[in-house]
Amino acid sequence: MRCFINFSLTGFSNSYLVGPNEGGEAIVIDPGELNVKFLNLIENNNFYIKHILVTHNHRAHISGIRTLLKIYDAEIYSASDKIMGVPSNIITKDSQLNLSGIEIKVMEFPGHSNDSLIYQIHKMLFTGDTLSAGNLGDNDNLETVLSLRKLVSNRIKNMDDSILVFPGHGPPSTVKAEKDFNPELFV
Amino acid sequence: MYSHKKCSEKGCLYFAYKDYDKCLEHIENRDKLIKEATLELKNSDIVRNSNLSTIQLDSIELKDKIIVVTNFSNSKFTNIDFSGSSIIFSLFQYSTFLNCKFNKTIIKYTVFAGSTFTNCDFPDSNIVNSNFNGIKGENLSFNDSDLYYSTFISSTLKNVTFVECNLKKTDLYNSERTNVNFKYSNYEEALFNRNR
Repeated sequence: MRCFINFSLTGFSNSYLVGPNEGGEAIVIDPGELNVKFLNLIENNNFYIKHILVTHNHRAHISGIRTLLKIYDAEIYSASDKIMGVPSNIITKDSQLNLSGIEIKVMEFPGHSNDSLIYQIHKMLFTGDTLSAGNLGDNDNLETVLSLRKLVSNRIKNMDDSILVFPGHGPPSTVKAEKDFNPELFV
Repeated sequence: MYSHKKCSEKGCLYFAYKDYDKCLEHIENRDKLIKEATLELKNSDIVRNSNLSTIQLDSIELKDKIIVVTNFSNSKFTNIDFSGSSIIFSLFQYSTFLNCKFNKTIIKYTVFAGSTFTNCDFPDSNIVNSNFNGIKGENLSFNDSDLYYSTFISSTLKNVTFVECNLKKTDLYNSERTNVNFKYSNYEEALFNRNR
């Protein structure tokens, strides 16, 4: 399994490309922008995008979807019925997906937005805006922030320390580093 | 990606070294393996997809290397010169850096969380989207560097200079700072507080 990261100037967000070592059908997570660099990353690694996973329906994480769908015949998976006006397969509860032979654990994390999901593929956690290095997703409602803090703290404490955290914005992290240094957790 | 295999020694939380079952702390021929890895690192221009966690390197030059998707967690670096190197998408968490140079380095999407840095310099570097959360740093210089979107959350910094740096979206929330100098940097664009 290989994972690549692409920084998008649209919304200063991170997009991720996950696929098998030998190339073939691959997954894009949160296509904030489909720029030439990202397209080269896909093509030069012999990937064909079959699946698009969306952590939440905010522009910084989905603006590249229409361009991506002009090039690849891909299915969208999110907690909404439509993303950028395009039909999406709805995932609303904690569940398991198998897309092109890749096992994906889907976790529901309402807080930053009502539709926020986290995806776990192997030892990689794609957290969108729910959890970033040393921070949690924003919400104007303090009660929602407190509830998200509790939810993330409860779930992350049982996760393997070696799992990598790949957020929608900012640097990557690990579950251990979040347990040890995220001031928003365990308070 | 590098392997996520854990050391098989009971109670050990470190990653296993390369394709071995144990980390370097628990492998019998540890010194021989470190010598081999040192030679390999010195002679390779590109280090990729490798698990070198718990390695201990002393007084070697790792200038102008490309280090991509490599795991150096829980390692120790003493007198290492990384100048001119590009370090991308790699893991250096919970490591120790003593007297190391990172002049004109490119560091992107790399995790140094929980590491200790003493007498290290990162001048004129491009350190973007990298995670320095929880580090303990003393006598460090990041002068003339771009630290865009890098995080120093919950870190402890003593005698550290960020002179003439780009600090846009650099996050220093919950950090403990003693004699830290932000002269000529756009520190007003850095994050020191949370509006909650």
